Amino acid sequence: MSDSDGAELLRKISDGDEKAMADFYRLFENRLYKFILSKLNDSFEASDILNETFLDVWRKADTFEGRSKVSTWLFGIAYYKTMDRLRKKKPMLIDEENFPEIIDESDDALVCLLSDERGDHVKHCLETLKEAHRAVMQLSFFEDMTYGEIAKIVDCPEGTVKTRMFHAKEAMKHCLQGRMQGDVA
Amino acid sequence: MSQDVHELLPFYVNGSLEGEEKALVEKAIKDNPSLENEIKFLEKLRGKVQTQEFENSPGELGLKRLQKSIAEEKLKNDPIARAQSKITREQNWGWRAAAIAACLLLMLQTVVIFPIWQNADLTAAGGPAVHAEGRIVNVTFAPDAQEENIRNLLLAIEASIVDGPSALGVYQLSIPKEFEAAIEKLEAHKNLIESVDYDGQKVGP
Repeated sequence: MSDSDGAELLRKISDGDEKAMADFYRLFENRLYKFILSKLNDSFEASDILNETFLDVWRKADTFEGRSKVSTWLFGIAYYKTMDRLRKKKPMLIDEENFPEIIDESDDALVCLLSDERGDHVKHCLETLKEAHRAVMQLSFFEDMTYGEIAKIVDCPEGTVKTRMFHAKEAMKHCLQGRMQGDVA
Repeated sequence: MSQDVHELLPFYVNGSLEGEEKALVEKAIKDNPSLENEIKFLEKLRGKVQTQEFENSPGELGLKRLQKSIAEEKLKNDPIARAQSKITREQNWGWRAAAIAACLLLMLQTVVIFPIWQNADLTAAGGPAVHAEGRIVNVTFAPDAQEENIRNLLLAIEASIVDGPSALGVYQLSIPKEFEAAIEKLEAHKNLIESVDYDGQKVGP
């Protein structure tokens, strides 16, 4: 199904078409849930946010103006709600400057990652990323979005998205190298 | 290598880069083959992110939940539906009130009528209850014993049948007085009483 199909569904939803709402839900539910869960790490809360997000779609379908892709608009709603939930749980700072210096770019992390047995290390390292970095990583590599789309979703300048993605990648290297050294020791 | 190119690499790897930026990255890779390692790292990382295992999404259950939320939402925003819901709630409340009243009436009847029943000299449809008195003895009667003879014997020892017969043909007799003498008489009438068994069990006042 194309983005224009999603837009057509939104038009029908704005007319109160519940069948179109069900189709829209089935179209995006799985991807959206994984996106939310990757940040909250709590299936109950992720289900809550998922429901709230689609309920917002029902309420605000008529506000979709087609200036962005439907998925960008939808993920933006989910992202806002997820971050809002996280802020209520624990105040956090998204501090671009306060980032540790990266150790040398040896191939160790790459070698580590190449091994299938290191899957748990990758999972662990993804979980240690800052929320903002993890969101950008997820949208870049799970959803394969452009940095422009991601910027709309997380509501920040495009340059910030690129910087966050760069830091996320470096943090993954840093973490994987650390895990590998731990294994060696 | 400029920071700009490094920042563009993830988007080159996910295939979302176009035009000048894509050309810029491709030229940088050509000029600096060491970037290939970085590309490989990012490709592997992307592969791992895409194959992350997540718990199953809520699926159709989530849709049911959403549809319920939407129904509540519509109810909240529709004055006619809200009014109908209010009427339904009031009707439900009417039924609830009637049920509570019926329960209270039942309780009242129980409180008023039960003591009257207790005081009244009422007889059960199955006949007056047998009040066992004295000690209990289990007996079996001879198959050819006559009812008249059994009756005379029981009257002679003032015994009453209080239970039985069981599946094995055992009757329970209550013997209110002179227990040992009554047992002797029962055992003496072997033509009427096949067996006598007692363990000193005592019933009644």
